[in-house]
Amino acid sequence: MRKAIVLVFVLAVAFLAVASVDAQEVVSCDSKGHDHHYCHVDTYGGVTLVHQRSHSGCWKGDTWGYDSHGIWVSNGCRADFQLGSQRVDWSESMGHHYSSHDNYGGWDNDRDRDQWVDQQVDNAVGNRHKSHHDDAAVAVGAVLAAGIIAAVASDHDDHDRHQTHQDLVTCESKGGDHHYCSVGYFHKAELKRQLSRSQCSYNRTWGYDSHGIWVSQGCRAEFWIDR
Amino acid sequence: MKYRITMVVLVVLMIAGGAIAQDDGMEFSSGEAMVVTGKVSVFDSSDRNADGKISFEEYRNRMAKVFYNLDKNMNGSLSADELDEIMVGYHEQMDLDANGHVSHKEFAGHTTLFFAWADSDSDGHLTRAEAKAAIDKEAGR
Repeated sequence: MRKAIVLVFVLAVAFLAVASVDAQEVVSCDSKGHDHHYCHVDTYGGVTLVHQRSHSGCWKGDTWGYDSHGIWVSNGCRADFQLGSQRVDWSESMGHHYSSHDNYGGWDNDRDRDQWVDQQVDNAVGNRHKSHHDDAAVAVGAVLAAGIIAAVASDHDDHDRHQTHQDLVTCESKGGDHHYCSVGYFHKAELKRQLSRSQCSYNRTWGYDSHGIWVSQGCRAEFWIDR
Repeated sequence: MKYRITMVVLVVLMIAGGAIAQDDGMEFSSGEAMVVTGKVSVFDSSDRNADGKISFEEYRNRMAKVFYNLDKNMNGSLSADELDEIMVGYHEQMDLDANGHVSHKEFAGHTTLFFAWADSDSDGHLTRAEAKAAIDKEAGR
């Protein structure tokens, strides 16, 4: 009888473990325009961004993050998130304590990283390369060229396509002061490049209205603005 | 041959960094905002936090913009005629389900593989040296 109870207990634990692994799911969460949007989901097992669908930036702790009740996105970030994929680290997820040395990709170790890459491969190609890393690696060479050439092409396209719509603006908070940079009417701003050691965090140390960008607490940065 | 030449240009772009930044087209508007219409290097323009290396997040965001800039008809996928004569040669390889279109997921999956491949020390960041090595390696294929 005791053996039977132990066996049932072991099976129950095993079942729960398997169920926990299978519990990983992917959810979509979208910010439209520059709105802040909150998606109520179970984040107990952690959250990883697995597919960015937006042209607008998705920056962990800046334009997306999560807490114990769900995932938030802002300023046009639209993405798919995998639930239950890593350990929970609330301070990191909120992005209030990260530095330039932190892992923006959300990987805690090489194993997490490899799993994440596998997930990306699965997302892109189904099971075709899942068990054939070498095949995938061969394909990577071509991707290198395509990806980087595309990046170069994009530099031209940025100006061809958005020449009359997008400008690069530098706005600086000096000495920790709040500073407003008036730039005329525009629709949307996105941080392009941080120039300061002080963290530039959307809606915390920088933000915008329809006519200008504000910065504070030493944030100095370049911003793309869409007119 | 053209491919090789392009790669040389790429290396220069990636390595030269800020040295090739242009300040033409610079103008000042009201307040202390500075509007700049010149270009900076691909590497530097991707390095959002200016720490001299490109994190995966910086790379992913860069590639998201690349995809949408290439997607001229804004239908969420890349057809061969949306790619230039060099990139079009890779369309078939990226189009893994062979439906004639490279979806955003196919594009993202491939560019992710590139990052993992080029990130030789697997620290989640691409340095200029890693980018140069990866480009040299590809150019020598």
